[in-house]
Amino acid sequence: MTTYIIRRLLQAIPLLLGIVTLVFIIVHAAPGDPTAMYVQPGVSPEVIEQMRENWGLDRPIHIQYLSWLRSFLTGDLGVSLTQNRPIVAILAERIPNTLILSGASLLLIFAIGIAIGIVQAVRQHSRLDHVLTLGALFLYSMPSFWLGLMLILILAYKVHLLEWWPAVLKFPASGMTGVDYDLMGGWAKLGDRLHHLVLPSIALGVASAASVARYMRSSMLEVIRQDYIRTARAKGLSERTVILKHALKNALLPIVTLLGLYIPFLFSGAVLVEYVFSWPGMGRTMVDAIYQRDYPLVMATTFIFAVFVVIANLIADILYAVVDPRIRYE
Amino acid sequence: MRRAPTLGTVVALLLMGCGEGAERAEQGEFIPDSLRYGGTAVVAYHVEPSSMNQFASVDNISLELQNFVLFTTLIRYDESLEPVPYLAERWDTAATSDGMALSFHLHDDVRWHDGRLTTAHDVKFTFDRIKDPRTAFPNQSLLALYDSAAVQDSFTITFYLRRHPGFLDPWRRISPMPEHILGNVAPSELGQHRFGSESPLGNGPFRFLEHRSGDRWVFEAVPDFPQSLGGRPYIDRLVYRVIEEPTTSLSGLLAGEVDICLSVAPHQVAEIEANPTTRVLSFPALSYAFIAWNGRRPLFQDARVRRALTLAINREQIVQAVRHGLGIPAKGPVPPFHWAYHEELEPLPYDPDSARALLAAAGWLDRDGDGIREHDVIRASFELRTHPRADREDIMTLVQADLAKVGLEVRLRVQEAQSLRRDITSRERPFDAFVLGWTADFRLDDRILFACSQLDAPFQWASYCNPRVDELLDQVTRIEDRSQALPLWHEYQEILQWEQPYTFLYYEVRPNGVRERIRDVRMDARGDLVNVTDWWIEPAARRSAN
Repeated sequence: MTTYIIRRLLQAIPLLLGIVTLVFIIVHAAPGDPTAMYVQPGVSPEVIEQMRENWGLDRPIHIQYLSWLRSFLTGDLGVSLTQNRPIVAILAERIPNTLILSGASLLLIFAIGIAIGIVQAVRQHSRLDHVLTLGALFLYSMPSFWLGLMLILILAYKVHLLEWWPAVLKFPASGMTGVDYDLMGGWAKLGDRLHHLVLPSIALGVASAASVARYMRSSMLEVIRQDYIRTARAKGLSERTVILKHALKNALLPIVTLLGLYIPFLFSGAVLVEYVFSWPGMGRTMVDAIYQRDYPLVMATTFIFAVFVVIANLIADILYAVVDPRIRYE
Repeated sequence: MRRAPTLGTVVALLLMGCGEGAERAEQGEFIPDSLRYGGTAVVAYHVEPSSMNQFASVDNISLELQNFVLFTTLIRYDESLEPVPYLAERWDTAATSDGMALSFHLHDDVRWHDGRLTTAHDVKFTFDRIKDPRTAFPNQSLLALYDSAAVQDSFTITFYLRRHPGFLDPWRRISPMPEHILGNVAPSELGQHRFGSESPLGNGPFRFLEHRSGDRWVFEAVPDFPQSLGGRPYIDRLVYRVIEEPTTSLSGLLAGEVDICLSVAPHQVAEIEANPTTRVLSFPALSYAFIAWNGRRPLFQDARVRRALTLAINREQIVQAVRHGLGIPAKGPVPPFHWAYHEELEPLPYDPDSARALLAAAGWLDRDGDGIREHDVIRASFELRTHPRADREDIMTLVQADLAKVGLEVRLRVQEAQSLRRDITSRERPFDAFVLGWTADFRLDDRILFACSQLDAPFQWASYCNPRVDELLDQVTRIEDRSQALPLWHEYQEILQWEQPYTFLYYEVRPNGVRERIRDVRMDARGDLVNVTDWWIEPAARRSAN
């Protein structure tokens, strides 16, 4: 297994290099450059030229690429041209925020998705099954940014007008922490963070949870029709044991592989959800960087996203082996 | 709440168990000065300030935070836009052989937030770096007519400059930077120094506390900020939050998470006004919306055609539909509150019949009966562009409909901002017409937009050239006496009105949403944060920390 992981990681290196090279070419081919936001009346062309020189943008593109690659390979990601600070510092601030958000969503997706899927499979063709199917399809078809806005409108604004609505269910509309976060005690801080996490992680995760529920339902249905389940029932085991102990593990197998599919999906979804909820994560950083042509920051953020996706796929493959003993990687 | 004014208030707050319970307190209730100190004000806006470093930033909100919150400018403008002392307690001028000498006498008790005194050396340092081309200070042109600076003593600095109107204006816009922090940084690295976003050290009424990128900037009142500059601000903390999505910031404002929401969307105004805990503060801003007609295109070469275009566009309707009334139909490039504004000039009316007559007189007739006019072989059809922004796109749609009524075909194109910028600023001017906004300055200089000498420069979008306008624009930048300059400004506006290089759509009225609990907030064209040190929060309506 270890050699397998190492081989996979080594294989990822040319892939990642290809990605950053491609991104470098695309972002430099896009019209405009980082000085564009300074092109204003009162800003003379000489100043713009000087900025280009200070930022090394006056050099031929292949020289820029080689120089970027050299510092990149030595671990120097450079300085953001729009935020005027080292990119490492920006990433250190932003990566955890995105991981918190997508981690919470991931939990939500699998916990809710799996639970609902099991219920539906066990009660196949019941009224509950139909209602849940309809609900899942409804949520699945809902764009995350729109759902986010609706959640904000209702749970972060309208309910504030209701006297009787419990305060803990009045959610903040944006940000990761409240205004007075720094002045709070330890538990209050944790509570404040969780409170801020609820709406964005729902907005980000709910559609995927719905689709996990669909997968879980069909996978479970397939499993409980098999002979060994009939055997388990014939042994006189309770239905609960049959489902949760014997059927679940096999039914989970295809679901676990979804993990690898959902993580990239979550990161791209995070771009919109972070925007709507003003969540200071990587997605927003990347989009802002693209609009402002902040080349070094675009390169760094896309690289990080690519790494996440590669790792997520690897994790999915490993989990596959863990869940299904028949699978061996050599 | 970190620092409450009285024990009584704290107890009252604890008993109520929430921070904003008494928000609907009587508006007229008098609160003595001593009880006004304390609390946190949260300002939200959709723009992340690029830097607290004057050498690097050009965006407006960075400038406001620098000049009104973190640093001190030498002078300020009062409400009638007259210069008044700030960091400089006074100034005097003297004539020299080739211009003038301008001496600023600084207050001797303004300290950087690490305790050092702010001196003339800091001002000199800032001036030198701005003038140094290696710094690439974006707004070098502010000091284009300034030649040199000399420190007279620790608190006196003299500038030598060529005489020009508005020579004080740069000093309401430039805050001195601390030499003892940045003095050793190479000029070419000043802009990207971490000072700007991680550890800015100011000398203003608030000091820097924290910056979380994409999230917030936090500032804290400086308790011993000198009385001569206004003294300690009332609020304890100022939190600037970046919220990009307008619906999110509106919800935050209405729910009490945000106290001041800058530049709300016009369609949100009614909801803010309907809410008893919030109000709208609006004021005429410096910006206006316009359509630039590319004068190199045959269709737009004739002033009669351009006038017809303006006559055919219902600007009042645009203001109502797009801005929900928050705009003043424009008649030229001078904003209404500017001293040079031409009061008597009648704006061109909405008059499609006159527009048709003018188009016909200019030779544009619909000969083939397809509803579109032609002149020789050229059809009166053009592409109107803008960048992705809802209000500008709405304007385009309305303009398209209006111009169709007089026989012009408008094709609409929404183009990504940077690629649009590349097209309109390139020498070839590969566009027909576009809708954009422009922000005027208190010290107006429109040469960049309409002077013949600028025809190849990035901002001469109309490719407009009129020697008389050149003369006027040159003269007004030299005449210091406003009463002498005014007739020239008027003539300039009259000519532009007649020749319409642009169709000036409307001057923007900027609406800001404010919670009622924040008192004494004033905002005008000088800035949203212009009197941030005077803001105070009703003691009973302050947030509680827990």
